[in-house]
Amino acid sequence: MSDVKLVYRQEVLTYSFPDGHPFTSRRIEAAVDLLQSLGILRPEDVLPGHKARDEDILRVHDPAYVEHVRRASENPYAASPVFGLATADVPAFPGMHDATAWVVGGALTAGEAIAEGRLVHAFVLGGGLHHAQRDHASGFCIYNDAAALIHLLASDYGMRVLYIDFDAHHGDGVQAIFYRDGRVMTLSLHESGRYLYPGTGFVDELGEGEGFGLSLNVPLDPYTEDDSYLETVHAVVPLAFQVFRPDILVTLHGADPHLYDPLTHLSLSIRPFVEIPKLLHELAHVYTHGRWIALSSGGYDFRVFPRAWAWVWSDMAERPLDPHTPLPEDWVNRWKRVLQNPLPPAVGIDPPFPRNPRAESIAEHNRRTVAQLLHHLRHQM
Amino acid sequence: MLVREIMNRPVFTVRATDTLREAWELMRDRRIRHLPVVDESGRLVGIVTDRDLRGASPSKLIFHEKDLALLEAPVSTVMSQDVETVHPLDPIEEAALTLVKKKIGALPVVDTGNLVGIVTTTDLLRSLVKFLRVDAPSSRIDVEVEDRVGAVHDLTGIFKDLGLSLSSLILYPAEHPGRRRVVLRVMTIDPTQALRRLREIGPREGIRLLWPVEAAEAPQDPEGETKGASGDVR
Repeated sequence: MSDVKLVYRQEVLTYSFPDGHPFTSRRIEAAVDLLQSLGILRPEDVLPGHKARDEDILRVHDPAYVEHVRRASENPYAASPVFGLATADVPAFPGMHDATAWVVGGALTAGEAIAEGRLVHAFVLGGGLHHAQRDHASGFCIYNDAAALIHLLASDYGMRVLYIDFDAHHGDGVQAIFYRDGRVMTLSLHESGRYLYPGTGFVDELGEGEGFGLSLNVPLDPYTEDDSYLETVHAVVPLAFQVFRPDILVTLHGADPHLYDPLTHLSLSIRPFVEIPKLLHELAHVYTHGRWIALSSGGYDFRVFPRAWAWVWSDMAERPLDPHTPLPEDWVNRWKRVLQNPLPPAVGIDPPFPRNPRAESIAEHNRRTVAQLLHHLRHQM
Repeated sequence: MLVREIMNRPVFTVRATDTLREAWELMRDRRIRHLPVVDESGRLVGIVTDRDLRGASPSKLIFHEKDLALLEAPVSTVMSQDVETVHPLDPIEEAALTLVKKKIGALPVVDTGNLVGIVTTTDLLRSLVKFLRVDAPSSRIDVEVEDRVGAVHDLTGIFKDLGLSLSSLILYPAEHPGRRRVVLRVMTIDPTQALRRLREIGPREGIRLLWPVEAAEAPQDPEGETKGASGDVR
């Protein structure tokens, strides 16, 4: 597997908010630990990313904003809510500029290696900061690593980039940055913004100018379950490849559409997290010569995201994992303080969840949403 | 919000002596459906709508050459003379109520006898969207509170204590007398602490959390439950 790497290094763990904040790098440690404990990650699989230079961050951010983050990195008291910092979601912390530069650098390292043919797939752990906007921080995100990566691929290597965002929250930052860009298609599947943060990501947000029709959104009903979710994914994701014919695939794997997640209201079990990487892997080999970069992202329940990301890696690196594999005992022991009950019976299995009596009506509503989106897509085919 | 903040200016008008053809061309070119009719001093003397004109136009189905002459008739033959108007300083809800009650689509805006603008159902819908839409990344919370002094103060205090800003707050009577519905948009991706607080003090303070709730507690038909309360109108 020399052409598949997990891009990760200790320094990305400095991207971590203070105690009590859901977005901590303990998450990344727990995930790496699980991959190792399951025996699917070997030392030679890890590619340490480099640190992003300022000009790489400035690909997708305003100089005034980057300058402010720099200043607030040295003196967090100088942080201003005008730039989205010193807020409940994005409290300023010392060294945050460098911390985020390591995160962005990881994504760019993956991008360069794949664009230059040294790798075919890469999984980048630690970022997925898809809410960060050009000129301000938002929703736990300071610099937009996904957007910087997409910009690198599109601008420096002239690639058509398909970005698919599976986080339960709308990928608003990435969408906004490429809203008028004809080289990038963004597709976000998320819980409807009617209720959930950030409140955007509706079907009628289609892009503008050269980017018209290249911004796709599937706002799902709260309480959407596995069957409806997978039906939606199968209806939309392959079509995005067919319509756009990308040169490379970038995916963002939030683990927060799961039932256990404290911040969202989708009701998935681990099953879609097992199946979706397989689908993406296949599609990448059909449409993009295999070129595929996956990023970790949100997900705030320790029973869920380490497993979800283990499945991304297992599939990408072709290190098969039996869904019935129990959670490694030593891993559970090391993380039991943050693991809630009930513990899942296995890596790819959840206990049976209560089925929502409205499941059929929710599925029907999601079908209608997909139909609206396909209507727009068909008009540009 | 006042009528003058949402009205259209300048107003496209016709004279009573202009032909129906001229009125129809103006509507078509400007993509509008209402034309105030003014006299030579600019005073409002009537209004003509696309429906008035269609009623006076030759049929598409039965064509007679001589019918085209119908379009040469003056506007005065089809206009309404008894025109409902509003003042630029009227609140928009009064304008909306007049449109609903009179079942009409537009109101000329008149100030000391001068026609200064026009406000239509479309303008009012646009301001509804402006009021209700999500304009900042935020999470929605729906609650019901008691209709008592300080109920909203107590509610918003929870967010203040947690350092959370609100981007929108809508308050309206609940179905049950003595209760009010509140729809909040809180500028955070993580409202869990605020929700925990709401659940803790809710029973004591008379605050009932309606959204978000666990699937099992959710109303069977959330569409119906939250109709008209949507913080978003897309």
